[in-house]
Amino acid sequence: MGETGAYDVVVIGAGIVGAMIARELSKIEGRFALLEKKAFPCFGMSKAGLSQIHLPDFCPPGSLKGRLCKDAPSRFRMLAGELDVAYREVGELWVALEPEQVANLEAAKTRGECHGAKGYEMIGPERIREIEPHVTPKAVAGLYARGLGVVYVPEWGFALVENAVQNGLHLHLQTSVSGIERENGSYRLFTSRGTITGKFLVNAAGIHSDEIARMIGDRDIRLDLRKGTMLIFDKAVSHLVHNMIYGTFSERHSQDIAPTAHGNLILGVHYVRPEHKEDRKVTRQDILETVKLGKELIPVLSEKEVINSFSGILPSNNRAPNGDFYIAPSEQAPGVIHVLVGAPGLTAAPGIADLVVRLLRDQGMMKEEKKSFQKTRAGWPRFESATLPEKLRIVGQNPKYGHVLCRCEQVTEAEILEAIRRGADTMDGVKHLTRAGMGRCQGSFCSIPVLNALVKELGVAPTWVTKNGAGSHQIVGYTKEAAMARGPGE
Amino acid sequence: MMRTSHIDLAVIGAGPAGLAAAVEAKHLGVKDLVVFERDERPGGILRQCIHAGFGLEKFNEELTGPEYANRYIKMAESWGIDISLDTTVLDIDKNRTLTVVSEQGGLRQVACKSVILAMGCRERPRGALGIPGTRPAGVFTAGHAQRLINVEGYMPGRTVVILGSGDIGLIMARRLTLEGAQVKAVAEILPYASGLIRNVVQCLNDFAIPLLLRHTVAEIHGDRRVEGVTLVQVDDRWNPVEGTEQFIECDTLLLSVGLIPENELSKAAGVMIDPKTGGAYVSDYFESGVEGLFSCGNVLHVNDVVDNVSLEGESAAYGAFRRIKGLPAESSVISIEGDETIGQIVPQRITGLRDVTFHLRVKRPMKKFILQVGDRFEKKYPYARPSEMIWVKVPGDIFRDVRGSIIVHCEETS
Amino acid sequence: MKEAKDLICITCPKGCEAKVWSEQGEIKVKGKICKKGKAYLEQEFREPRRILTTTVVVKESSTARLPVRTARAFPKKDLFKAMEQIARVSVKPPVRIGEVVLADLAGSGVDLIAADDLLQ
Repeated sequence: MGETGAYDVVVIGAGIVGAMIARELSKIEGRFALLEKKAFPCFGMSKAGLSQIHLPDFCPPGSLKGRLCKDAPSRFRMLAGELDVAYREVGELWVALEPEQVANLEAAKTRGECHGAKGYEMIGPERIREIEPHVTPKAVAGLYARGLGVVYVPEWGFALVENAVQNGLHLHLQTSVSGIERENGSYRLFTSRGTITGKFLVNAAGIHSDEIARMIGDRDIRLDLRKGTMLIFDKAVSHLVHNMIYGTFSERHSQDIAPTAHGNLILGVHYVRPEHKEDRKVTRQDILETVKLGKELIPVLSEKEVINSFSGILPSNNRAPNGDFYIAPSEQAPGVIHVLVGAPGLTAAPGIADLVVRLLRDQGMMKEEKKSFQKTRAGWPRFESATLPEKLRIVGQNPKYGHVLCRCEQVTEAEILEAIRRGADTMDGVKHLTRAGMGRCQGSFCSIPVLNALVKELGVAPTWVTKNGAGSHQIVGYTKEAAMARGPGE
Repeated sequence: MMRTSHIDLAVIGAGPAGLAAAVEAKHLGVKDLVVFERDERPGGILRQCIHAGFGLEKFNEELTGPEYANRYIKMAESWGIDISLDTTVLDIDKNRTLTVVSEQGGLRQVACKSVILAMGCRERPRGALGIPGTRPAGVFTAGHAQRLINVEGYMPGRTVVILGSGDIGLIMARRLTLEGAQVKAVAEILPYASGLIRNVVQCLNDFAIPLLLRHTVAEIHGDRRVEGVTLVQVDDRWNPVEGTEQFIECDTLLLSVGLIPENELSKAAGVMIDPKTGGAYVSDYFESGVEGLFSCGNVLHVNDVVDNVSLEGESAAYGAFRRIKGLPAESSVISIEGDETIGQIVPQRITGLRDVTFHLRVKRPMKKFILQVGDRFEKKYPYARPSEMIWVKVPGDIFRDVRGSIIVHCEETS
Repeated sequence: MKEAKDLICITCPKGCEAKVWSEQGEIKVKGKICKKGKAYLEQEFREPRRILTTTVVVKESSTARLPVRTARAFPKKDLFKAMEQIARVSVKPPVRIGEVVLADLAGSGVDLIAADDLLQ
């Protein structure tokens, strides 16, 4: 990269929040950059979550996070249309499994309503059974609301960033920041890809935001971390849950089972203390505890149907009271906005982006709207979820839609090539954009065609291909290296 | 509008089961048949099984996988069998209409008189095993690694630990070693190797690769790429024994821990699946519970000898042929149940009007036992292991006057 | 007397065990072993042999590797020597199944043959 021209704003971190912010910034005239240390947007903690857009009913009254969740479902619905990404509508059902828990439901309703949420219904066991036939008979009462949603975060991150780039944003992937200096009213960032200069900085670095803060001179920002385990279930049991079903919440768990945007079930979250920031380890105990959470809500749920388990780190900051978000200009460094958030980061993301842009303007960033702003971005047809007539049409238009490479999720060569051409240059990048490798066999059939597609489209050697960026090589070499070294026609 | 063609017989899968079924169907006189294969070449899993050990019964020779497949591919060619490659069957309905797609042929429907399901199986992945630890690159199922090495010429890693001593794991231990990798250990949760003894000798002993019985992987380490695994000993209930953890440095973990018949299409058509086999409930004509849908090979139940897979294909072809010819359907009224000594058995229901060959596995290793079919038939065996399927032919007349069900049981005599 | 070896017969899935030693030039087998097994064990004691199966590099084709095999059992002691020799050659289409790819592999008198057709 070398030394690039100075940016007006540099956003550090392309998680879902950074991606939203970048897209909002791209509506304004100016030079903007988005830095991401991983190989793809939303490859960090944003994708290691439940991916749900909830009501703000577990946000304390008067909290910033609660305010920022206002109108989230309708904002996401609108963004889904603009960005051509999936948004699956579901309801929210908070159940009480004992009479003592009913008070929790009342409190949740109150919290939600004070943040502007409407449409809550307190319901009894019969109605619960109607809505969710597989919920435990122990459920004595429920708090039900319709019109919420689930998304697949990596798709959203990609779409937001693609749209922002379309509108002039500079995206720098695999770019980590190691130092920041103040010089002539701007900031010089030393990164793994060279030096970048920006007048304003947005610290949206998630679990690394304390490190970025320290680089700027804000030494007393500290993060408290929890590691949460989540499980994904086979589509064969998707019929067990129709809405986001919540149970109880504590330091050690957030009991939540829900459909995913693409038809699986996701269950979480069992919390433990991580050993360190990069600790993603999931132990047998973590899996068992998480299954327990699920079985309490859905007794017929079986561990046998788990197809994947993963963990995510959830940070909370030491600046805001009551575990609230802290989104504010730096007290030390002019023109730096710290975005210290946690859950519900996804739901609040549109609100967070608005707030950050406002704060930047307050700090002196330019205001002129970009007249040429392109607010829509087109995705590409997804074969698996198309109706038969749609399938016929897209195969007719592009025969490579007839070549199924991922049999479990019915992902075709056309989609895989499109994802690669649009920027997915790792196995996981292709996986998260197309779903190839996310099905029953978890890639044991399609990993090879995906690897070969990356080799062919990018013109790279097979040994260059990684799972998710530097160091995660998929293969190490070739058989018969001696003969291959000899070259053709030996 | 979507085209619909009409054929007599669709065979789904051009592996050993499908090819044998197609060849036999032609031999019997079925005219209008198509084999649908999603890979770019026929042969199924045999393409990547380059080791020898196939064909001893069928051809009286010890062939490699590709050589065995080649025999059937040549037979298919000489019969002029239409094998539609790079073609995926997306759906089957209970009226035997297939929805099929390929780059060449587009999206179309195929209405069939009979369908033979020969889709084979998939491997149990890490996600389903819940192996604790991080999620680095370098974790492969053994079959995936086999294809990487044998078909693509890619080396998955340089220092390897293999979980599972089934034949695939053992074969891969040898293959990797011959290609210059170091296989540090094969871990097996059972107290005995689950693959053939010949493979333990030729794949592990020959190369001094340690076989750690009663062991499993407790944790995978590594941030970007595998850096090592922690193995741990287990007790009789497969619980880890505290204090027995050992860390083995490696850059690759191969998982050879189970095959699952690939019945998603079958289920979509309404075929009921036997939880003991993971495959369809079938009659002695290999017909599933859905009329006109027949099942054979690894999609019916995981086999260990490919010659038997071909025989199953032939049997399914005969069943399909009878239906195409309009021969009277015989009701399979007698249900066959294996008791707790039997791991799995097919067919699970029979007509009782003819001789039947049962294909079964014992639940646990047995020595000197008598296999009993109800109180009507018995046969002595010196030994049996779950990993070796038993084929037992039972004369049809023993089922005379039988109604309801017959229990199959193994009685140890020593 | 040459030292006795404990060997496992692998000619059939039974995997019978036997002690094998040499006495006055004759190979003795102690254990419950059938005729076929005895022949294998004698050979295994004298000079262990294996069918070697591997792949060979393919050039000028969209196929990357061709499976190959020794036409018959090959001396176990020379397996890695053979692998090195095989690693240095390549083939290009057309090759017919059964064709000799490398004659007299590692000086053993055993040929390495193609285990599949390579037509394009």
